[in-house]
Amino acid sequence: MEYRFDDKHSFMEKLEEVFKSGVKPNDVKMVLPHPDHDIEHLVEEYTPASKLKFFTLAGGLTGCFTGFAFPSFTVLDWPLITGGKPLLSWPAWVVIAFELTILLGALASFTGMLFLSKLPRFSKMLSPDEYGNQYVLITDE
Amino acid sequence: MGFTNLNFGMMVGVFALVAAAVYGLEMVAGGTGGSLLFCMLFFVMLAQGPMAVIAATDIVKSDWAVPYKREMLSVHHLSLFMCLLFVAFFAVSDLDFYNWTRRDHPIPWLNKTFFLVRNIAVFLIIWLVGSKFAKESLNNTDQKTKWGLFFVFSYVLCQTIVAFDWVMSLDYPWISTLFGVYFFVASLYAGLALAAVFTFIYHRNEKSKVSTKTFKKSQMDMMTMMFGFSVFWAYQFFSQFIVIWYGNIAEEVAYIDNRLQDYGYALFLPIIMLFVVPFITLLFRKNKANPNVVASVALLIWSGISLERFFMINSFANVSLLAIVELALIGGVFVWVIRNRGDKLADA
Amino acid sequence: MSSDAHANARTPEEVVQYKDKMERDIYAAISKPNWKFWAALALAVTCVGIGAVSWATQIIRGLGVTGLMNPVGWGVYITDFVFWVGIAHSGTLISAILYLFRAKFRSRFNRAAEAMTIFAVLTAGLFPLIHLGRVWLFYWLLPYPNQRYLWVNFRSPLVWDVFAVSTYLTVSAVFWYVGLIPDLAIARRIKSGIQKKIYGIASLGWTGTFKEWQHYNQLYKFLAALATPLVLSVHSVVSWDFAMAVVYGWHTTIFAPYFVAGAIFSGCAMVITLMVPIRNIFSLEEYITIDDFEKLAKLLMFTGLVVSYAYMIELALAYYSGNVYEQQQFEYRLFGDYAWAYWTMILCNVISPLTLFYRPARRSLMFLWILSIPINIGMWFERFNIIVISLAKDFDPYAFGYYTPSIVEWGITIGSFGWFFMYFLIFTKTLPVLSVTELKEEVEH
Repeated sequence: MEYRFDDKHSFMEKLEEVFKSGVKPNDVKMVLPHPDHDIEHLVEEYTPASKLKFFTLAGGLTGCFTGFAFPSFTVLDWPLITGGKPLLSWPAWVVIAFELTILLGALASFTGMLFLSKLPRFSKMLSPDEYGNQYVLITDE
Repeated sequence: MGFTNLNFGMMVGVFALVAAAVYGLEMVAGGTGGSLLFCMLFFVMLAQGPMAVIAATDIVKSDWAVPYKREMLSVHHLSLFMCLLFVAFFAVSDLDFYNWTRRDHPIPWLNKTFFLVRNIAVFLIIWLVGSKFAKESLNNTDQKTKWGLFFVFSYVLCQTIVAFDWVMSLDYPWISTLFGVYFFVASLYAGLALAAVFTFIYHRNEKSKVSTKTFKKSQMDMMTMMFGFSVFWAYQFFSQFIVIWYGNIAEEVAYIDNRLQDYGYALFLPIIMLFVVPFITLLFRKNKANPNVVASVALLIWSGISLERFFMINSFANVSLLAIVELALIGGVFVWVIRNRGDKLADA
Repeated sequence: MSSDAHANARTPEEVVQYKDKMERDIYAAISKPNWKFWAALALAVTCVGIGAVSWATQIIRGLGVTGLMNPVGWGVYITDFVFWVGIAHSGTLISAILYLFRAKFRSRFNRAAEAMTIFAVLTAGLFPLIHLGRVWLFYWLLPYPNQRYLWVNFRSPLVWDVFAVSTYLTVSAVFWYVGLIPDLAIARRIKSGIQKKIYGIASLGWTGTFKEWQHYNQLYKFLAALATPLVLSVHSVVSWDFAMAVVYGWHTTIFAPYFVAGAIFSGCAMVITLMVPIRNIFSLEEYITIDDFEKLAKLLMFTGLVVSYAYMIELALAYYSGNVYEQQQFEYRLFGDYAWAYWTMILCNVISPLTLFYRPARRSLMFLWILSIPINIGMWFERFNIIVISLAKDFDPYAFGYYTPSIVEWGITIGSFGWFFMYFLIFTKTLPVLSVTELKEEVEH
């Protein structure tokens, strides 16, 4: 069954009705013209929130660790005092670690989004289903 | 919590009385004024930081501080109290521990009379502007943005003067151009911590208020701001530290070196108290929603900033146990004013 | 969006129609360009050509063709670098910080501002390479295992810069692209032929299911949260290129926040410079209102005041410190050989934004656009002053000097503007200049 709505509120009423009847959000397909917080709150009452944060966290921690470990490794690999600073110049490493935290955190989040949303979806690139600016609910019934 | 109206004359009387009491206490106990300076550095944040938070939200016309507004603005008369305390401080210490009072230097900026006059002047300015702003903001008039802007100006001016005069000149001729920023950022941070403490109080006493959607959202936003400020605090701390560390100029690193000798690695404890713990704690939504957690973080933030201020001044202006009595006295006035002054303005 | 349009779009059908109209209006810009566009592009490409010839001259004949000489070893190239990195900043500011603060007016400017960020970083990134002289050895800046067992010096602010600027470029490109994905999917729906295919591939097969939006929203929030401290760090690292060195006028603790504020200041000015014409040319008056520009003007005013505060503090503390060397450095700035540059900066960055306290000035697009030009110029001079003046009169009186940029340096500077505007022009004709998805989202609220 395919339901199309022009209006967000009637769409949400229908959604609620369907979910209350015991259908899980994973079993239906919802297509929205744009993100909407009200709909997100509604659906997240029936389904867990996005797992994306774990990707961000993993990326960020990796970056932070690398940022401290890698410069430390290089200065110990070839010990060379420059600028009168100690070999392990932690304040300087903070900068590198910070940048790498952000870099890897952002890249991991992006990859995570692609992975979780199963993008890129080659089949839909050239011949997608288009619903314009309507809210669409497709159920198995 | 119940707010009652408070007579202005009576309030000023109490201010004067407590300032005089503090003066007497220092004199009797033979204090140098160091403890008083320490207390003032703590309370000057609370007298101005919370209002600056509200002024900022008024200027950008966002509404997320509204449930906190009355309480945050109720501190506005306390700048006058700070002014009186400053006079008491001046009288007690005679600025003895400021080394520039003892040496010859060609800088007219650093002389006792001018020091006294300009500090009184900036505190009177911020008190007047702040009172006007608090009134406009609580009555939600069209003028509130304008006065919010003026308040921010006087806030920056006052905090910069406090930073340069009260603290930085102890280390004269050591300078850090960031010092003013350092102080007004910390005050904003302390102001947000006050919001966290109020969150805790509301949750205990005003169940109907905290259950509204508006309040929940506002609480989240304020605590997110506090989280943001933990990062920002770390940023400006690091910005100052790395320039000094990297430059490695004897007269500059002396600022850190001397204190490292006095206090050891405890000197870096504020980083944990003001950045690491608040950052990790407030990263989680669950914690931001929990009034006990945010209030504990707020207390940690206040202690962190105080500890840092202690390290800044103690080598010159000795902080004694007297500080505890004074903290209680001055803190009592703060609590009293905040409790009783809350809704006076809205009707005015 | 204007309140009128909002009020009119009430019934469900009208809401959908309004969203459709919004798509049509904004994607109308992606069409066959007219002669004016080609003329503008030709001008930009010509400038790039001038820059390329200049750079080629420098590569063939060496760095001697520039005015760089002892004691001024950093000149226009580094000024340009800092200038363009600064321009880049407001893009991320408008996108990320205003997103976290949920400021509505961001959705009018974020797409173009982010595009500006990327192109400005691409431009800025060229300058360290140009300044290297032997540009073909640029990869020595990167830490990679090599036969000489050498690593880069991680204690050097210049290496921090490599990390900061490349991170910035990558993250802002990702941020921009993520914001574009749903809009590219709209382009795929609206356009036909080869365009449909290209947009289809670029949209990664986005279909707009709830799951996609759910992860997308999270991602966008995280990227905004990561990009915000990144903005602070990047220009701080740039400022530390100077502040780490023990040079009077450079070695000062306020540099990091001062540079960040300056960057946002100049970037806002550049957004105004770009968006006022775009709004007119593409008839987007309905979507970008005067109110939105007024907010941008306030941001400009605010950052202008922060910058003024920093100028004041620098001067005040140089005086306060009683340090004669520091004092002389600032006296030289104010009254020395480069006084003209210093006062130009004061006029442009301190005095001219004060006009914005006057409300009608904030609401006149013509005035804002005209004002944005001197601010851009003033911010260029700010960097010029910091870099050149401090070097021209450094430690050894015997080595004091005066630096005059050569024609090659000016040529490359002109080239950098051409390079930036070339990309930007292409952007306006190939991608939606407003974030349609976000504007649509706002219709519902």
